[in-house]
Amino acid sequence: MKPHDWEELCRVHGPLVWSTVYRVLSSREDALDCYQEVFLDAFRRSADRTVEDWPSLLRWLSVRRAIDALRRRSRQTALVQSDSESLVAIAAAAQSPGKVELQELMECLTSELAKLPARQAEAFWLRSVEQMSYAEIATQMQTDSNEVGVLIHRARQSLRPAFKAFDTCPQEQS
Amino acid sequence: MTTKLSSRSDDRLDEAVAGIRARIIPDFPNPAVPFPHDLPQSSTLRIGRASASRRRWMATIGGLSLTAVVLTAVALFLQPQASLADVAKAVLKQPWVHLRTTIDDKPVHEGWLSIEQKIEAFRGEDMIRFNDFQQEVYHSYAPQEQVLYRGPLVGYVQSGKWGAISESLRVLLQSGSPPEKPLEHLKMFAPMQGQMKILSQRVSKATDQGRDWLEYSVTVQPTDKAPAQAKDQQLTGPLTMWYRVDIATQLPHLCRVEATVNGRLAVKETRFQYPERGPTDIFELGVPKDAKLVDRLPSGELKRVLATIQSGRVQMDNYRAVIVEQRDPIGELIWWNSAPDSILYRKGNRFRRDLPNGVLTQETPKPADDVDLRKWWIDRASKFQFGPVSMHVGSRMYTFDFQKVPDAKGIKRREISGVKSYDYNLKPEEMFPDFATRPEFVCRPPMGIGNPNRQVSLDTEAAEGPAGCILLKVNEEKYWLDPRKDYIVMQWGVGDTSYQIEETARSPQGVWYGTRVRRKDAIREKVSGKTYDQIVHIYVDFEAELSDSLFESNTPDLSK
Repeated sequence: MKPHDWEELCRVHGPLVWSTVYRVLSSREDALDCYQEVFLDAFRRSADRTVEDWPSLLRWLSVRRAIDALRRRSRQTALVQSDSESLVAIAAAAQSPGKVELQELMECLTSELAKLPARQAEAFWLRSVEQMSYAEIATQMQTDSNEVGVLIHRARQSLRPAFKAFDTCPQEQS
Repeated sequence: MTTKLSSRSDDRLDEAVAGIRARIIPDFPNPAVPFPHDLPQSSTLRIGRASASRRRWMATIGGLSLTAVVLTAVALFLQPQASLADVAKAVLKQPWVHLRTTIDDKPVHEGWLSIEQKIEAFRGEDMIRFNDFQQEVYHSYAPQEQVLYRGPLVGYVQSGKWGAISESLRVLLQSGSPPEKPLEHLKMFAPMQGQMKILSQRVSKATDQGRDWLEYSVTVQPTDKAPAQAKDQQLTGPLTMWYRVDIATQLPHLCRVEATVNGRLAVKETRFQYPERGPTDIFELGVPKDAKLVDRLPSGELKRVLATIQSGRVQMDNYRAVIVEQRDPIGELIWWNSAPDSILYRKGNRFRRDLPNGVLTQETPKPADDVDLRKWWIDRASKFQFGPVSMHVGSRMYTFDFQKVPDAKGIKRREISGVKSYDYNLKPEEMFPDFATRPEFVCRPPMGIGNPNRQVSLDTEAAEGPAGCILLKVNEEKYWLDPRKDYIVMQWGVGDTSYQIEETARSPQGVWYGTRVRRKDAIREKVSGKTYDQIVHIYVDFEAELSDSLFESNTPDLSK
């Protein structure tokens, strides 16, 4: 695919990029900006290499760009769009208080993600949310599977404390 | 004593991950967006205006692909713009159209449209927008941010998808009975052809509240070819769209969509009213008069410069251009045996891009060192067969799908297997087709000016950059403009990629354009890792005959 075949890129892979960035950002406007940045990046990268696995590359770029955007957003005045429109939230409102908490959990995750070192955040998200294999992640991040494992492990370690707040009734263990 | 905090925290973390994986994804932007760099706010509006409805619709119905159908259909009622169809005409004759949308009886947004006054307005929970196409100015207010943005609407048209969709509606209304194959006839279903099946459809007349109505309903469900959806977003029942049009006035009054997601019925309704008056400014939509104003309207010198650039985009002559991309240094490559990379056409507001179809089996002798390469490449291009890959006609873009079919000699050649079209609310030259290689656009690239998030400044005294150029900064991006050549951009960058316009020329009408473009370090050899610059040679022929058939989507002229 030539660098200026962005039309084709958008057509074929647009949904994948869109859903990936939206999952991170949960804001249509932010996701739209990010979506555009991803294709810009893809556009640039396709110029100097043969891309053998477009979906993986775009997924990685999407996560990378979206986490960047998340960081920018967290640095700015909170303009985080409410996710109240999501089905999850609608269901939550209509059903149990427990579901409302899910919304908070998700917000906690994205907000903590923005605080992680970039590579940790990317690796964690690609694995846990996008469910890419260690090998796929390693290829895109230009590292090896072991390193990916370490990054994910460290990410989870760093994220864990933030979720303690949701444990209102920790079980005791002797 | 210790606690199981870490494992419980892990559980919570996993819950959050699962929640995010199940997050409803709104309809993604048009699959063939204009170059993504340049979707200024107005374009965002086009998507964005639908976005609120789409996002909310998604929230209720779920399912990305499924909603593509629904929303395209619903867009009929949400994006009433210029059209040839009777219903559209009837709508557009009204001084104002007012749309009010609810989901499960809860109001979600309102829209106003006046073709006569060239105004569109939208009010949703997260955005209020007022577009004045007469003044070419938009106002946008985000309640969460409490900031009012003002910016230019230059380059946008008030018509968009409405035309194509209303043509579909005309099929329905004129036949008086359901079309045999609605998925083929109705362009609103085009994105989902093959992924949906019709369970039932009906056109009927009804009398209600003393009026005669024409009603059309169609019930669909995804086939196994539809993309898989997240478990909690699955359509667990059929989806029905139902339209009601007043026979006497030809005016639509109601669009209703019902679907069941995970056993829960969701209903979206859009009701139409046709008032005599509508909002005259964004403040009438509830924006506080003392809201902080961020002005993105160019003024003074910047305005003049941008207008000059814009003028060059519009006024470029008709042409056929042969595009040749080479690495630099070219080394031992036998470039004279290769095919041109593409052929670009422009005729007024119509654009087409072709790629070579097949190769020459006969070796070509190396041309003499002093050969006129422009003539040589234009002549060489005539030896190849080309086929279109994309085309822009007005504000509609077409992309072509291909299949490989063996010819009489058994050589597989590409044949068009399908055409897809997309409507934009951008003027054709604002869609920047093939801007990286097009002579008039590569030196007038999309810059995203007008977007609230993009700050623009002009530095006429900048010390760096190409000699004699002034610097236009858009956020962190730098564009070096040459005042001696109608401010064409001589150097610019996107991310790590920089474009340098090394040679320019003027068209017969005097429009400057690029003929040689360098992209720094754009090519990397896979084996050695060595990088090269890429040189794009643009050989423009202003005298080429450009038949109108070149731009006809149904009969693409492959022989050219």
